[in-house]
Amino acid sequence: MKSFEDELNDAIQKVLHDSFENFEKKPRASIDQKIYEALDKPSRIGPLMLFATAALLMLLLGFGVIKMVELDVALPPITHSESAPYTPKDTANAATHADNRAADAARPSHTENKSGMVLSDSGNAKQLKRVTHAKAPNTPHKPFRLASGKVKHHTHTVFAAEIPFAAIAPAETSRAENSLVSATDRVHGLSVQDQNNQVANVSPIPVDGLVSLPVDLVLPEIIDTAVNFDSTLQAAMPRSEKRKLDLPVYQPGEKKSFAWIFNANATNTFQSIYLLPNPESRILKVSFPVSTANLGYKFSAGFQTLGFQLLFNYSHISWKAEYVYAIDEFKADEDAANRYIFERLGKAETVTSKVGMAGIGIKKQLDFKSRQMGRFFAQFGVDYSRQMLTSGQNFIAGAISAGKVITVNRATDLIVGPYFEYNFKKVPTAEYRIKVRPNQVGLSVGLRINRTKLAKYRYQRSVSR
Amino acid sequence: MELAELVKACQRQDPRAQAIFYDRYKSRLLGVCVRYAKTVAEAEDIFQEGILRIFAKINDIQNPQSIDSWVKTIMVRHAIDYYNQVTRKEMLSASYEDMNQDWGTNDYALLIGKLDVNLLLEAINELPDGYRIVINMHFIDGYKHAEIAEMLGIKEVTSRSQLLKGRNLLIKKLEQKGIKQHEIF
Repeated sequence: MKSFEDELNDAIQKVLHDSFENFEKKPRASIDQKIYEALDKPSRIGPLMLFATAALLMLLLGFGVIKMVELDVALPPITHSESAPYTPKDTANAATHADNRAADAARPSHTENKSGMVLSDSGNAKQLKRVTHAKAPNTPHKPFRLASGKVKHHTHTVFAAEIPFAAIAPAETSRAENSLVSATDRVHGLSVQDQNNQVANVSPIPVDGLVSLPVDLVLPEIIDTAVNFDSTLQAAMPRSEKRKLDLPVYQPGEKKSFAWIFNANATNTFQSIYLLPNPESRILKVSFPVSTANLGYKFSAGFQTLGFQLLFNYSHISWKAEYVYAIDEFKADEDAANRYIFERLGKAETVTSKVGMAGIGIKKQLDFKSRQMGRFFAQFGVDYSRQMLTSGQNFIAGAISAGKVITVNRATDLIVGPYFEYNFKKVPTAEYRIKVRPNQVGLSVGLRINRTKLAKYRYQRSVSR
Repeated sequence: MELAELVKACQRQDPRAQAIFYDRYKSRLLGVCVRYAKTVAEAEDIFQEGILRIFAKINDIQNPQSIDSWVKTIMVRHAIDYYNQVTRKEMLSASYEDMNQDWGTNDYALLIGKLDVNLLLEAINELPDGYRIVINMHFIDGYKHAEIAEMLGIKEVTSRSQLLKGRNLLIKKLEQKGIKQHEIF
């Protein structure tokens, strides 16, 4: 038997339940508007996922910055070239150029010729030799006069180089000339190798009817392999040049090389739309307007090792489409044959989809080198990304890119090139029963910081010390 | 669009489906909020946050056919959370004297039965948070005391006690609104 309290409760419960079971209150229009706006807002990113992605990118970026800082510290000033074995000689010759230009006026007449001699060693030796062959047999003394005149008038160094003064000057003066160069360079505070030693290694080249032409064969950059220095042979043999097609050559990377990779891509989305089977479909027309709403971006950070790149990506893409939905109105036009052509009218609606996603990608990079055009790269790989929502879509895309590799410094390359990404998966859109394949085309700019090269450089530097 | 289809579309975050879904449930859910809230403004706050919470959690639902009860549960829980955050202290410390009414048999039914829903709602809204929530949960939404205790984080005895006190206060409030015993008879 129920107590009074229980009966009271039951009665009140019955009354309240009956009164409020289907109680409804319509929200105000402003509330509706707020809700619609909140639902139309860009995808709500899960805070945990956002934090994780941000932390990962910051971590990788931090590593990159540290490496860059280390690189800056480790690299010597750009004018300090200790890695090239014959640079000191170049420096000496360059100093002689400057010296000659600056000090011509004060130079005694007997040393003017010497300046011409020194210049002949400084990278213009190739021209010197050619001129020697052309002029020496016919006008053995004329060059000397030209030399004097031109040097006195501060003519360009090329003229001085063209002067086959060495062919006329006594052999014993060479030693004195080189000594003079050394002294001049010391005045300018530049480190110069002692030229005397090199004079000892000079091979005299006989010139028809003339004295020996001292040519310093230890200068690799002034040796023209296509030309035989023997003038007697040169006169008889036509000059032959081997011309090869300068095709880029594949340069396999070192297997153990490790590099940090940072990429930024500006993308434009172009889409393929798939209308799913649906008897209620009322879409008459789909078009893709050209709009900034199709622009997006993608940031990647990761590393390269064993010839492969592993990258963590964050991208934001958007795309826009215009759908024309059929309405229940028709237009009837009479044609020439007194028949009516019915056309169903439609209402256009523009839909913009935006997706922020994070993911991972693996890529293979191929490096090519061409003598004339420098370094190139080609890259292909696969990306997996997930929309940054609790119920996000998965994206699987194949990506290819190719472009130019620009050397920033010893261990850092700047990689620039076009970029294309094909989505294997069709993704649902805001439009019901429509799927889209959002493909990307854009420009990729990236940094590759090669740790192996840096380590090698440090090792070489420590050895040289 | 069928209900299951609608839910799946909402799970894909299809804006159109979300709009349809919202239109379907908005009045019913705001009605729930109005019962649990003290004022209409509070009810609207709870409603807005609760709707977004529903869309955020809609992927959790396994059986789309049970969506009606699921959305209501989410909204009730959100209302409870709201008062836990805002007026938790008030809710637990509200102390009203036991108001044992000297009702004659069946008088209570006549009293409440005569009331307009809006007047009844007004009386419920005037109850302290703790009483109002327990009365709503038990009398209207049909939760048992064990479930209420679990959801509110209180003891079952406390739930019964709150209900008893709230009921008596509600009757008193109704009486204050002009319903006199002599009018009932």
